[in-house]
Amino acid sequence: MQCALKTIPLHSISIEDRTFIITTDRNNELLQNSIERVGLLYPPYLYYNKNTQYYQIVCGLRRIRACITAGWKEITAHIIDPGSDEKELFLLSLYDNLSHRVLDPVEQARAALKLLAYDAEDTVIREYLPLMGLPPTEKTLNHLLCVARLDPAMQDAVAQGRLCEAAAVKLAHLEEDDRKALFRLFSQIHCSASKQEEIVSYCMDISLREKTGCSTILQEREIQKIIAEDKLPLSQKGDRIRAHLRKRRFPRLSQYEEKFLQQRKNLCLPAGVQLLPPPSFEGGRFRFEIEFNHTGDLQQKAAAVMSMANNLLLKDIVENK
Amino acid sequence: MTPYIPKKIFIEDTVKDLPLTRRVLSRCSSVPTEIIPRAKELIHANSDRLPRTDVLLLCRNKGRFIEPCPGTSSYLCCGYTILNTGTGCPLACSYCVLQAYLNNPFITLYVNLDEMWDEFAANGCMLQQETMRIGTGEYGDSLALEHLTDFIPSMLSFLGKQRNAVLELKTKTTHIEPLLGRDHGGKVIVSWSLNAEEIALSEEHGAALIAARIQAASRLAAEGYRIGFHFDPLIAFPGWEQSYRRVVDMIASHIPDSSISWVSLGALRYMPQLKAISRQRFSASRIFTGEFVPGLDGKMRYFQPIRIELFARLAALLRAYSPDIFIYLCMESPQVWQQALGFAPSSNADLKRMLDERVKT
Repeated sequence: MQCALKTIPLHSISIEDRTFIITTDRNNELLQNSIERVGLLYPPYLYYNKNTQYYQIVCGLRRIRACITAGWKEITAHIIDPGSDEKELFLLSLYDNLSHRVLDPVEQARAALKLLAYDAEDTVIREYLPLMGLPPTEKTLNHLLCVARLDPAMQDAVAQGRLCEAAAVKLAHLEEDDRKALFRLFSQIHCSASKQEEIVSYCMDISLREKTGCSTILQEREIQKIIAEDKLPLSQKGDRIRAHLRKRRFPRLSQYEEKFLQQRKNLCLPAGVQLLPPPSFEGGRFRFEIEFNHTGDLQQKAAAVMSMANNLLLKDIVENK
Repeated sequence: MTPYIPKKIFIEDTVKDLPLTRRVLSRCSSVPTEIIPRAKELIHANSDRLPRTDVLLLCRNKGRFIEPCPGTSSYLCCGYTILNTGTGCPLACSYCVLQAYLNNPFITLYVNLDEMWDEFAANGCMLQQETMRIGTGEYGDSLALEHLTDFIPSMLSFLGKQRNAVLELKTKTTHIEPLLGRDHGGKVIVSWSLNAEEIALSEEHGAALIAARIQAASRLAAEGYRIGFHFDPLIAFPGWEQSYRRVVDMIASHIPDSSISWVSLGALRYMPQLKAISRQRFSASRIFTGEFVPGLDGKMRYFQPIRIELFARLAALLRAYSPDIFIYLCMESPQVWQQALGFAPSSNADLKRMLDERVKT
């Protein structure tokens, strides 16, 4: 593949043509300032498309955008020889991106989708996923393809970290209404990646079990009430909705937990002494946790714990009554 | 049930001339085959793939053929001995643990049986002295590939020479022809995995209907075979109790209780990664929407009170049919045994002893 430096009018470049582009659209103030201050240091690579009679961007979308914003009329670029192989042009774009930054999940997804047009699935998995720093597995490729199929708004959210990749992959498997309803919910609450994933999983499981849609579940009064609470911080809204959905997803476990909390309260343990149940009530191993400040404090609390050995309320808890 | 025929067969180069390879190929004469240098490489290259039940791999077992059931920590194990003649199963059950457990997506037959017999010979003393319940149903269905392998006749002949070894075949098929009219000497227990009809229809895609499984059990009971039933995995779904009652009623009306060696109960449990794998293959399945929590061994299990309810109810139904029927729980804690069945083995060895007693010849 050969190319030559040429100065061409900016309006002869098609910004909309994404044949070789995987870059997510983001404002890049640093780049803008750099171009306005010192000019274009690294000319983009362009390919002239005879059919559309426009230049397609192979490398340099953000640089070209910055030049347009700076009010330039012309640009100097590497113009690739006509008749070049499309796959080679795409690889030029991919390697250029990989040489100076880490791709975000949406860019990785777009790259994988485009590569599948040129190579077999096995080749993409084996050769290109490791190139992007990803494990060479079918599962990874499938995840990327899920992200590649999402609406642009959801892809933006993934690229900007507002929607975690794992939750996005799950959303991709849902019907459009359900996907949009959950995405809307995440714009109304704040929660960590793991909590987002949990919320999506709860909704998916409840909807499958009750043969209803996630969108219907999210319309339930309790959830709408939490969203509508003006004074509640967004992160607390997220926690409450997650807790509500967990209770819907695990009704018997939740009932059991509530009962345990009540029973534990009835034990009237001193402050700093905590009775802990087995995780998920699996197995019979309970624990006492004692916080103390000095040995006298420990002695007092340990005595309180020892006295529990004959407590009938504790016996009921431990024997599962 | 239509017997399984693969769509493609891979053959590891070093086993291409072994008798079992030739036998399998003669019974799949129209199936395309490919000789591969090493099975390990093929498996490695496909290790993260979903199960490919249409592909059969014939290769050498480089590990042990005979091994104790690994059991699971913190729960009681019955002390079954696994005879590892292959891995994978063509029946495509949505809950199948093998989907997540195995890193080999192909149905695989180990064809170096001469080495299996050598291993048995090396274990000869043990076989003569203590009871050994050997089973081929741990990593696949015991009868699903029998029409290709003819494994049973040679196994029966081997068992005839052993004082204390018995073979348990576990299946969801009705492929009992190889067992009919054989001199089994009481050394074979044929067990069927059973479930509610609804679950069999929606989750056990290639398996026989429940009624057909019980009919097959009835035919073998009439030939003096000992029968086992495994209600595993029990699934808690709306109406489960009525559905499982119908299955117990079916057993009661077709199988004399004197023919039944044991009935095991096990609730659905799975490695956490199974849910996603199964969802990819069986998206309509609702069985993973139950109340599952992490167990002490890291597997997901029904919340304990739900398990106890399932086991206690099933046990009551079975005991109503036959008060002396031997019921055991698969991979459960002594606490759950006690609450569900009213007794608990004191250890793995104690449970093994109970089951061994049932098969003393």
